[in-house]
Amino acid sequence: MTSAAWPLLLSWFLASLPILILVALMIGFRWGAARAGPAGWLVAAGVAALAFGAGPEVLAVAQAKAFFQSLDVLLIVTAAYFLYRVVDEAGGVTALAVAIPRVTPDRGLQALLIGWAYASFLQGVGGFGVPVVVTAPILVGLGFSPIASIVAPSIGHAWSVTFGSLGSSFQAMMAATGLPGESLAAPAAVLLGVIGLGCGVGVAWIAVGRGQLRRLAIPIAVLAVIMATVQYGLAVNRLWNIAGFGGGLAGLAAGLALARWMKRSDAAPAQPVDRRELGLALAGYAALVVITFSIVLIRPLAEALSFVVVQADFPASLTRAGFEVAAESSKAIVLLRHAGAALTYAALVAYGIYAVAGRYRGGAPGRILRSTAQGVLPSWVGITAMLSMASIMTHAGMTEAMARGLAVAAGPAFSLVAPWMGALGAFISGSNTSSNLLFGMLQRRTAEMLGLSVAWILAGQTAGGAVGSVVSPAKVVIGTASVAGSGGAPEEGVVLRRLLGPAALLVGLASAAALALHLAGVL
Amino acid sequence: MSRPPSRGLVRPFGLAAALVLMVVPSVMLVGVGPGVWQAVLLGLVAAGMVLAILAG
Repeated sequence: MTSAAWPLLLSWFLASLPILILVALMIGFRWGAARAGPAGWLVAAGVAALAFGAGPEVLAVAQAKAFFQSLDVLLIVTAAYFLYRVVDEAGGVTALAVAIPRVTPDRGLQALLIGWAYASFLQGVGGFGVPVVVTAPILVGLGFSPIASIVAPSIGHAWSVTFGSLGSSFQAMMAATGLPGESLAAPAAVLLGVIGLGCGVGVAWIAVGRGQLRRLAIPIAVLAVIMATVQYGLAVNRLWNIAGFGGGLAGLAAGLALARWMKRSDAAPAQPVDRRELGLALAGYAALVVITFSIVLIRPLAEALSFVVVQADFPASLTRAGFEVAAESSKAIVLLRHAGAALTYAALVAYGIYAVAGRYRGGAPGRILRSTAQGVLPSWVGITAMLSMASIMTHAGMTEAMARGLAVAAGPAFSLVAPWMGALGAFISGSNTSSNLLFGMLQRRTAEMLGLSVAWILAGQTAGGAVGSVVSPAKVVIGTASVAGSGGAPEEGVVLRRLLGPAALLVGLASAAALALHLAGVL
Repeated sequence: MSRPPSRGLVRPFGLAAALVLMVVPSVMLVGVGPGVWQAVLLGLVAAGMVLAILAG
């Protein structure tokens, strides 16, 4: 190794140090995110100030921006948990746990229906953490282990993250790269479709074991093709806002039909499903779908709800090492039509329905609010700390140093590396959107420099980002919190350790697909 | 081994206090220019992080 390489290596190592320590504390020492996140922040702030020349002005801008990013996420996390508690207190989660085995007694199909199709559908309409928060307790209720109940839906919805949350991650990639959605949509949808198949296999493997894979091959293949095709069809027709939702909904409908058909073909004894109970159990989530679409599609309603906007302007920042981040405004949080607001409206509507139906015992509102506050407090601390850490790393040039290091090391094999960079950005920030904002332009320029297809490299970026986001410590905290009340609930570090292997395989799948395209001359 | 009863209250109150220390100065940083107050507010955020480690 030449002497010139040492400073570069040292820079990579120091830039990576906060993440290495965060992961080591969570996995090695089993610290929760509410402790490991702040520790990561302290290391990031120290390294940024001492090794990357970030003065108080840079740290202040980074920290202030992180507050607005945290607010965006915490509104959703809190409201999703609130909705879940409203439904759970009324016995809705238990009712679903009773009804779904009656649709199919097959444990593998139950896992695929809830951990894959339903979680993907929820990603389409919800977003940050919602799929796992909602489905993990249902899987626990069905008798799956708490760890499998968190890990299976975490992996199951990964393929629908980019076009889920009403397309926010894809919109972010368009914004960051300045490229039109028409050129980016098809490659991204293809790569995410390939990952979707891996998600189905992963869910079945995690929930019922490798031995059942052959038996479940047909439902996995059918659902993967249907969900990927619907998402692709919507995305390439400029409907990227509802591509994830449409794919998930198609998967859910096909999964239910498939389960009924397979039950009939197995000649299992028929157990009637109580439709009223099932309808009540799903009332909160049905309300969420209606409210979300009303806000998106009914323009006068959207305008009426747009009068409270939280936004701030931030000055440019410059480190002593010369790394500059331009002045910018924070994302505008339109408070009353935010995804968190839609979830809150759905929770209130659901509460009204359950109250009228006489589903609550005395003192229910107090129990719901108390358990919501207790459930989300550690998540608030962990998420705020980790997003602050990511913001400091971005403003100090640490993230850029890590990414450039990867690109230099990879050289012509960059197409293999692109998904890993996307995954890294999402792992740090907890968000496919943030990863695309963080690395989108860097990926585009590197691809242009190396003469690779920009659209396919960016597809790798967002596919890797989708997978990286579901394994990020911030989301692991949320998923783990969702089953905190059940017996044998695992520590966050244990969940993270179980997630890393399947997630690495999925990113590897995206890499392999990119390599195949490269060899075929497409990329 | 069972936890001492007081520990059950220390964690949520400690985390809540840590969160306040992390969030309130972060909001105030939006309107504060370079100078002593900026350093003080960053110090409070750092104190919040330390408190979260101790309470979490």
